[in-house]
Amino acid sequence: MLLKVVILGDSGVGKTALLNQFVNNRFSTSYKATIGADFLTKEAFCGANARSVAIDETLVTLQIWDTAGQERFQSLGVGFYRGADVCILVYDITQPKSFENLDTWRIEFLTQASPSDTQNFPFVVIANKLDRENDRRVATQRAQTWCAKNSTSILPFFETSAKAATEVEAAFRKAAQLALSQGTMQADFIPETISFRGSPANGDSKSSCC
Amino acid sequence: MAPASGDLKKRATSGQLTDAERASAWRVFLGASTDINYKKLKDDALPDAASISSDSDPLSGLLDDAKNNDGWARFHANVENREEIRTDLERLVVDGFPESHFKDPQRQTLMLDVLTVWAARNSLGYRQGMHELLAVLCEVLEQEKREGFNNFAQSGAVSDGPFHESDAYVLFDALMAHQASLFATDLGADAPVLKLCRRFQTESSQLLSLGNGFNSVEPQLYGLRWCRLLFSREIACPALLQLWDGLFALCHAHQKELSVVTEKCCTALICAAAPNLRGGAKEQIALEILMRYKNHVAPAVPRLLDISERLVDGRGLPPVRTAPAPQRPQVVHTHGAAPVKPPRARVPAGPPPGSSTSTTFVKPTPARAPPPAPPPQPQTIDRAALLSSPKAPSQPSVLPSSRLLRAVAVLRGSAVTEETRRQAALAQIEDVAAELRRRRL
Repeated sequence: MLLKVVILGDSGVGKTALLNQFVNNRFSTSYKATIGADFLTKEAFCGANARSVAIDETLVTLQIWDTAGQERFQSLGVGFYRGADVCILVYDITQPKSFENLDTWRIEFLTQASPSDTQNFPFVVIANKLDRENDRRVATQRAQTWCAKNSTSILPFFETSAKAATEVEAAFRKAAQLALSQGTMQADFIPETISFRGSPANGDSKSSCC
Repeated sequence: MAPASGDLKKRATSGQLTDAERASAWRVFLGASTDINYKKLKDDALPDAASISSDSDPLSGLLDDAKNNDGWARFHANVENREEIRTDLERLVVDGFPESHFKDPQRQTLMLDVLTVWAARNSLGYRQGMHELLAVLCEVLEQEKREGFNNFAQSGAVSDGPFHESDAYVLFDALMAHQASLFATDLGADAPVLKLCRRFQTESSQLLSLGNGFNSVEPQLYGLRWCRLLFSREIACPALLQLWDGLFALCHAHQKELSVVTEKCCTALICAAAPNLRGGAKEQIALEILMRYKNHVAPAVPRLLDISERLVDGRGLPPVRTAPAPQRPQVVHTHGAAPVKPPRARVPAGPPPGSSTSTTFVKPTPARAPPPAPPPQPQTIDRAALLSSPKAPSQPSVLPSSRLLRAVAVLRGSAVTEETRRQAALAQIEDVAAELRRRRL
């Protein structure tokens, strides 16, 4: 099963670093600026239910799309966002502006992706650069308040460090789990029931046996 | 500016420009201005805080006053711009150079100033990727200076770096005159870069009869990067410099917008990848090849330029040579009136002799083993394969399909199945058979 994850956030907050830490378990101080979009994939066992035991878990392929912090939404095409199963919003705890822009990223994403259920489309919020705690300028409480305000259920919120590999795995696992439950909900929705019994057989009823 | 001689164009499109003459050739091809007073532009764009009227110091908290003061408004806008540019410069790495090369503080400051001044003077401002274009220009100017040919100094030259900062600005400004529109996104689906992407996708699809896999990948996903960065993430230096030599020369010689040449070059890149994109290649495979082009295809630059020029002047793809049929020994040239061009001299993989002491390029590491030559297929015209497979077998062109399939099998979760393994095994057998056929010939 292929799940599509889209990562959004201001330029330089560490989207590419987070993605590389999760997929390749490594960190570099010099990731090139993303131009347009890029993607990495990772296979993971994951369950749709937060409390699921291992037996419920299925092998999923996460196709995680990294985007340029400066890119305008229109240039990647509407189709790019429409296929998303979950969206990860990232800010940098040392850059208040990147936190203030979460609103814009969230609204723009919903506008472009236009999911059937805007209220319940899954988002995960990541506060990155926890390794620079001394330079922190966005309080945890402030972000938690924002998360509570922007969802009927509370948005999952993680404070991470792509550099120190803190909570990165947990954040992406949560995203995968939400994506899977989102995907499952869509797959379970079967609009028409096809009945074999009693349907008129197009004039050709050889199947009736004697 | 004197028009470039035909000879210069010819040498530029066949990889023969030297490090000493490259910067000058680019100035000519791109139509660089000779009367820019960079020092004045810099003073305007980067005003010293102390030189701005102190009547309405924004630090006193009178924000409205600050807004009404042009000097301060510009100052703050530029400070913000500068921080954005700095974020990108601090992580600037260009393929083909050591990671530390562009981290050098002198180079960083120079590029920061040039980009800030350009952004201040153009409504588009700084857009991500411009810094990578400038980095390549700076390298070319450094080469020129090392070769002792820097005689382009002009009024208001600022010379406190490895070369004249003003030269970098002039050359960057000239390139951006062609390139800026591709960075604009405010027109939505009508943005020039998106129109360009749609055109090359349609053209490649028609010329190469590529399958649904290719057609279902939205071209802007990879095209934005290809066009804006002029292929600098697809082709590493020093081959990239030879590609730019040719693109700029074609732009000048055919009196076309650079974006037209770029568009045709995108088609040429797809031509080179066509053997991997055709047939039953699924969307995910096509996506992987196009997004990570360098891992799968290594096209020869003269070939890319040849195809680009043919498409620019409307001659179409090179005529196809059919392999001699077993019963009829004579070689028949088909399709098109243009004669088959003799093969161009292959570009050496390393820097040209004579510049070895000055070059800073990282020696390219061979990423993959050379693939087997395409199997000879009598009476079958494989246009794309002919285009993309250089005649010398030593030049890697495309990955063997078995390896690609294995790579893709990892990519697609659902694809790690018996069927994929079977396909990979079959493809591997085909590769071995092709290799055997090649050796027998």
